[in-house]
Amino acid sequence: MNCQECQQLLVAQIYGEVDENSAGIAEHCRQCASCAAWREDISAGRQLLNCLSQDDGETAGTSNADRPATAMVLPLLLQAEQQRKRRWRRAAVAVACLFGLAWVCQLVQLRVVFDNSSVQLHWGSASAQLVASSVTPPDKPATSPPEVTRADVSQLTAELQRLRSELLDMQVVQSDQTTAVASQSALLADYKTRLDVNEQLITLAGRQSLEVSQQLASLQGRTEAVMLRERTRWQHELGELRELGDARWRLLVHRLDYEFPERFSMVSAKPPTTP
Amino acid sequence: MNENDHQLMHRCRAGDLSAFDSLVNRWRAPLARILGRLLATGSFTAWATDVDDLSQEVFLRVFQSKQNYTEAATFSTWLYRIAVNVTRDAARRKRTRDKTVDQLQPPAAPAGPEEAVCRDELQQQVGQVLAGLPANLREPLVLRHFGGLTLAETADVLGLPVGTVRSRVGTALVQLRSELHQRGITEKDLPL
Repeated sequence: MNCQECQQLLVAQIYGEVDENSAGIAEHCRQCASCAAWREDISAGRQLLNCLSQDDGETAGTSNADRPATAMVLPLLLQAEQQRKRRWRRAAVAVACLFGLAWVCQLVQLRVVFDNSSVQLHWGSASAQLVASSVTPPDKPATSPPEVTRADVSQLTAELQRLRSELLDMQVVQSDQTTAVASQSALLADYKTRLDVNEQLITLAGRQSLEVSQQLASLQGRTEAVMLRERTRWQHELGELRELGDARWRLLVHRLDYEFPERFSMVSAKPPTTP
Repeated sequence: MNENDHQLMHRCRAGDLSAFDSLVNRWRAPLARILGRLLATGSFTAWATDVDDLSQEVFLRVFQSKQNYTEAATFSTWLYRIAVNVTRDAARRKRTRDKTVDQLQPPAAPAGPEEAVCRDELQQQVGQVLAGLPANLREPLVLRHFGGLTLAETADVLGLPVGTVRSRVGTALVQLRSELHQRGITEKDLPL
């Protein structure tokens, strides 16, 4: 055991976590003066600290001792929740402002042009561009700023009105185009629907035609079978009728021959048929 | 009603506020004692209101992170780890403030015999020396000595190896005794 290990074990030992005898600390301390001094120092330090252990609650806050714990913590929870909601609200307002600014820029067709020596802001249609600001002066020699007369103001005002009217016209045209595109889309959708219906009808008619043909063939076969069967039966009945007529005729001949043998001798002269 | 801390935390996680009340009532005093020692730095002594505020913040963090609590360690280890973090944050914020000794709350006046006055004087000196220790020495010493944690639990709270914690606690005790010797206070001055 070296001194470093011993000093670490001494700390554990004075707090009762390590047994002095089992860890061999006492033997090392008998041989090592520095470790013995270390043990004396930390033991004394611990004793000095123990006097602070008696003042439990003096430095500790006790103002909330009678309050329930939830009453102590829940207001902080509510406050944290409100702060989180406030942060979200601020973020939403900032995003809304950004969208509004972007919408205004798009509405006035704002463009930023970076030139070699200046930055220019343009708005309105491309045919009528107004230079709003210039960061650096042009390379021209410095001259006195042009005087703005009332006529210039009126001219600029008229130009501005004209630009506004053009903007309105463009918006109307854009709206018309949007409407036309929407109507064409609706028409195309209608055509597609009709085409689908027609395809379904054609498919259905083909299926029905096939079924009718099959039924017709079946009927034709059944008709021929019935005709054959009826013809056979008719021939059979005809033969029976013939035989019956023949039998009746013979009965009549026999009767006449019996009642009037002299008169119808010529009849009886015929050879008798077998019964 | 003798539920242990794990059972109370389990109920608290299920939304039972009475369990949280019980936990706070059980740990308020030990936590305040630890916070008072951790918060006192240099010539600054912890105010009772500061300790109250930090206690609220610690229990607030306990309540907010109750779903992260696991029973792998003891509740005191988890609680003291939060307390150390809260104290470090508070110390970071406190650097911007300027508080002098004159503004500090005076210690409670002893209404008693002369021994009580001497004892309070001794406690005040020891407290000041303890508060003057560097944070890396004071934190393990306070957690081990006043928090009742073992050295291994203290190492777990601080995220340090056990050997480092042992060395720091020993160094802190030696430095504490040395400072008190310079002020003329030895262990012989302790009341019997």
